[in-house]
Amino acid sequence: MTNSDSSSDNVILKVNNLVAGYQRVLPIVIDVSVEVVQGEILTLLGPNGAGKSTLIKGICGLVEVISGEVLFQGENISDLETHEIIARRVAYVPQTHNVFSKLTVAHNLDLGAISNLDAYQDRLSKVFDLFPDLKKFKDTSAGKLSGGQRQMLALGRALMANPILLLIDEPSAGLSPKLRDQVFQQVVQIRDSGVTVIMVEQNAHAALSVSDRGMILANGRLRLTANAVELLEDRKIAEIYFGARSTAEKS
Amino acid sequence: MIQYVLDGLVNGSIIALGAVGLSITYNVLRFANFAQGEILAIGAYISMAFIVLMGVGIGSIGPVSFGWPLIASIILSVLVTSVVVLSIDWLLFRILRQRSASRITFIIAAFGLSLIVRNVITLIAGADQMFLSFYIPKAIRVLDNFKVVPDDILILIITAICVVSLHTFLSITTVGKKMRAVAENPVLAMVNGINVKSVIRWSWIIGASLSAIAGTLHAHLTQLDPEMGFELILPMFAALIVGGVTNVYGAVLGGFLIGLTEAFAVAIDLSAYRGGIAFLIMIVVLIVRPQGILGEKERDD
Repeated sequence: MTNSDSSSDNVILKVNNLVAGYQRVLPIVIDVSVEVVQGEILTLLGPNGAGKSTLIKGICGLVEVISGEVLFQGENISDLETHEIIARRVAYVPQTHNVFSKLTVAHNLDLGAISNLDAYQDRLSKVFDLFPDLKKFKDTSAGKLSGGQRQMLALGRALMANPILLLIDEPSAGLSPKLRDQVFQQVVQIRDSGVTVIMVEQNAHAALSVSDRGMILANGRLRLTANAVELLEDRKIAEIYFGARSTAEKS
Repeated sequence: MIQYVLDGLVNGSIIALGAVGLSITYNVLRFANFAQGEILAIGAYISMAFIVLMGVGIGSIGPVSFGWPLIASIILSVLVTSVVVLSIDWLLFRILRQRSASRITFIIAAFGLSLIVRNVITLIAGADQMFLSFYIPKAIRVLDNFKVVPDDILILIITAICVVSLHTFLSITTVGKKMRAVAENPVLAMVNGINVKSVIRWSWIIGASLSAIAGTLHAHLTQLDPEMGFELILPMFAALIVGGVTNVYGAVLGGFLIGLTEAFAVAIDLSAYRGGIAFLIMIVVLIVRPQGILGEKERDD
């Protein structure tokens, strides 16, 4: 179990008072600060429209950082372009359209490594070990894969860039409970191989059970950061936030 | 009949090379570049300028009225046209991208650009027709009713070289692979660490280079005038739509089909309507297969 205040030199990502969004006049993430520790799985939770996805997009430069800063391994990356951030070994898996559907599985994986071809074969065999299906279907076009296989390809593609930090937007979206658990187990294996993971999730319970910490956002603001176990056990939190989530989803 | 096929293929070559530029802009930058015809015109006029500067005509090699001065002019024109087009992108389209302008803004901007380019060409070179040379095609009789102009064969060979080079570029080089990735999914391309700005620059360079070649070949076969871009843009769009906008090889196929259609219109004595017949084919394709012959259905996003 990792603790946020255990040791400050293990912090690999530090977000300070981040304000981010698609338009300057309409910030979606407001004044969020968080520290992410090497080797942990941090899950972002909260109702739809809370700014969870925008927060991780802000980290990798896909939305504008209006104010505040993002420090990755001590370096301020908030003014860098996405490809420059990716080159610093941050990987991002979008929620939808996360594979090149016209291209084959192998070609998708190649593109993941396109900006850094060192130890390409090693990484490819690691990805194939983690996701044996990808090896089996390597010459199939990605558009023909099932939902679960597609999610594995999206993760595999991100791993081909040999990331230090992996940002995943709703890995379980649209998957059956069985596949969802499988994907979460794979996220744990990815973390165990030394990659720090931040994921956005709607399936609070299932996601927290594999996470070290959880972070709850609402209306763009950070409401709470706590150890996953505490969040899972705290009835009041469950009622307020996860209950609030399901009402928000219904409306 | 074979005579018309050859004529159609030669004209189709120029349409095809121009339509590839249109296709690349459409797929990478995601707008219909109404100034694409003017890029061909810029290429042709720049070649003309180099021919004038060298002052030795276009030369000849054997039976082909296509000597080293013309070849050198085309190469120089490819370079200069690329620089001109990159400058235009920097001055105009880059700013629209920064402001996240809508597709329609891009299209109107491109249309405005085409008018500006036409007028700048008139201002510099005059409104009169110009000729790269006083080349009179000397046909060689191959069959009783079939004559071949050696330059036509050369144009087909140049087009084949361009298409094979394009294919090699797109399928083998890293830049080509990145370009295909950006064409399919720009956000996913970015998160693969691809520098989209650099891919955009390469797209303009490829499009401008093929356009400079096509524009010069067109000028060699006919003449130059400031309206030449406008005359070429409609068949190029027809080619793009017939072949399928999402597939760059569709543009090549479409170019040849439109060229052949126009030649057959001439063959059945409807030369005055050849543009109309090309569009008739386009409409038929739109009804039968809206995504074009080689195109794929576009996603909604």
